Amino acid sequence: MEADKKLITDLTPEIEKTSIKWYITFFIFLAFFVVGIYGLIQQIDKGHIVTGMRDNVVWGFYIVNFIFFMGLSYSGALISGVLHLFHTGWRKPIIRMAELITVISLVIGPFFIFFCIGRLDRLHFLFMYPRIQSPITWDVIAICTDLIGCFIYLYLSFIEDFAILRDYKDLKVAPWKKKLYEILSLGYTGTEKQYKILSNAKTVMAAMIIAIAIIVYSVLAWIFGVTLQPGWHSTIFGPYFVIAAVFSGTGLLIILMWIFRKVYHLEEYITKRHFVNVGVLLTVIAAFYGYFTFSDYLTKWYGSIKMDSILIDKLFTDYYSLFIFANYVGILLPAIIIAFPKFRTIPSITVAAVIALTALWVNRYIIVIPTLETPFLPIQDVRPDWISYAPTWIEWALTLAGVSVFAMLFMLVSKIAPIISISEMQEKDKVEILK
Amino acid sequence: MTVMIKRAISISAIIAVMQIPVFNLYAQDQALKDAILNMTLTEVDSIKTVTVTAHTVEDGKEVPVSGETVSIFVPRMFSNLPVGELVLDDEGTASLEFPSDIPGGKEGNLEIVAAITDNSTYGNTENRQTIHWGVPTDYLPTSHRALWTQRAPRWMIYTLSVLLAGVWGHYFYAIISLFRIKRNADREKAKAEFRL
Repeated sequence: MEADKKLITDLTPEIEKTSIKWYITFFIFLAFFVVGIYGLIQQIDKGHIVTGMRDNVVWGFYIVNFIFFMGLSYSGALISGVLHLFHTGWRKPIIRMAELITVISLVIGPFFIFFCIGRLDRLHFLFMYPRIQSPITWDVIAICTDLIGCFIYLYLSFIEDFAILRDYKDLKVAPWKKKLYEILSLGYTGTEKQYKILSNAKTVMAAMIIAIAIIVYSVLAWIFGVTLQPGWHSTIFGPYFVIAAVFSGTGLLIILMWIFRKVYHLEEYITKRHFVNVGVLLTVIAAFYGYFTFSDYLTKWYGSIKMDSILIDKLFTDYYSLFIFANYVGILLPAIIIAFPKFRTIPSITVAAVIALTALWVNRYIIVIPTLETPFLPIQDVRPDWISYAPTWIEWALTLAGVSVFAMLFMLVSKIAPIISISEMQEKDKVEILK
Repeated sequence: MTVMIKRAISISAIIAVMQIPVFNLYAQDQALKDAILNMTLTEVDSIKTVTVTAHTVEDGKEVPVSGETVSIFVPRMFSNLPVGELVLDDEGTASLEFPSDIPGGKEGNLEIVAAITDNSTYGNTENRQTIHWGVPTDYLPTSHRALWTQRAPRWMIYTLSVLLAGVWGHYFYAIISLFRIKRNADREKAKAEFRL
């Protein structure tokens, strides 16, 4: 397969040679990762006593991070699937990023479950003695299924690019990398038949990962929804979580677009139009997300069930700042920034995305922690410091390690594959072939 | 060395104090009398009766234990279910009507326990017997499908199966597509080589 030389050179900045900047950035993230590993060793050695989790709050940062990363993954799947299915013209430079968000987040997310489990030696019991009635079993099945589906979809989207890199004679890479492209491209040469087969498979998988993303994230939401805990036992948690996930994923996509554009000078490919389009998507989702948030809290507040009232009081006292940031600032500010054309610049849209993403993480925090601090059956004579949750440095370290691994995996992928899909960028109107 | 001597003196002092009857738990046990508790389970015209008799042996003679309380209970999964308390009469005997609605095991067997507990004179003594007095109850959750039994409701199995079959069916389609691409590529390559 042939492709424009400039396109290949521009979109594969790290494949041939590794820049000093790449090494420095990678080692900074690696340092965070090493600190996280040190924290993990401490936790394994001394037990969960080194975390802030106690008898009441048995889910802390780890579960917050798990939900957050899984949300990013599902939103990546939804965004890339929808962009692919609707053949949106402007999708081409950003669809690869959405696909990578999906897979990388999905790989990182479950590790936070492992950090949270007290008896990791019993992890295999989940597979040996599953009960279909348990939402945990649903989640295990769903995550495994989703992981495999996302890998297949990502691989399908890489085949054409691998074929281009295999056939690009001027590519100066190590022989093992050439061999890798040869194996992974499956001998794809872009014949009409091959293109049809690949396009059909991609379309089927794009549709599937949209459906799976919705179901899987709903399953995660149902783990909370089916639990009789104040604040969690809600019928709208499924769609609420899905919308929240897309909100965070859209925010992350904008941030990644800004980073890649800046670092690799992709101004020609990722333009203001892309930022505005994804930004408008963020605003629309912010409106839905705000609506779900308001609806959820309004019904709880108006219902005046004792424990719900106690929880809402707690949110507006102990968690006032976080609650306002997550559910007012985090929704309204990004929407306002992007809604007015006057404010729509690339930096402002990126700032809006950073606010949205941070607010969504905080939103996860105030969904998980205050509820666990408000149990239906308080433990008698419990120590006061066991009721409240405060993360320790180990939880912070492992959280930052998760973010670092996310960045490092993105950087490693950029060493092997184009950061923007070359095949998508050079794709002419091949829809005719499909007809 | 000094510390060891001090410790040895302390331990010796404790042992010496333990020899004083007031502080000697073993001596206290020795002061308790042995009570022999018998339990008779009878059923006449569907009325189940538990009769307990208790006596102690003094100078080789059986002496009824009177005025003491005997508890009747049935051990359950987590604790003992109290059925009643009897006060022994001058003959050392007491009885009560046993309820006929206590769930038993699969075959309706109940273990009935009569016990004198923490008694200042007789300490602890008990008599337990198993009898077919319970209501046969099959607790094994194999009889029906529910959220809380081992067998899941059918709709859950069907829904999960349909969803997984649908999803994995599409995965297999995608995987087969990969093989088709590879096969087509091999054919094209062979054709090109043949032309050469």
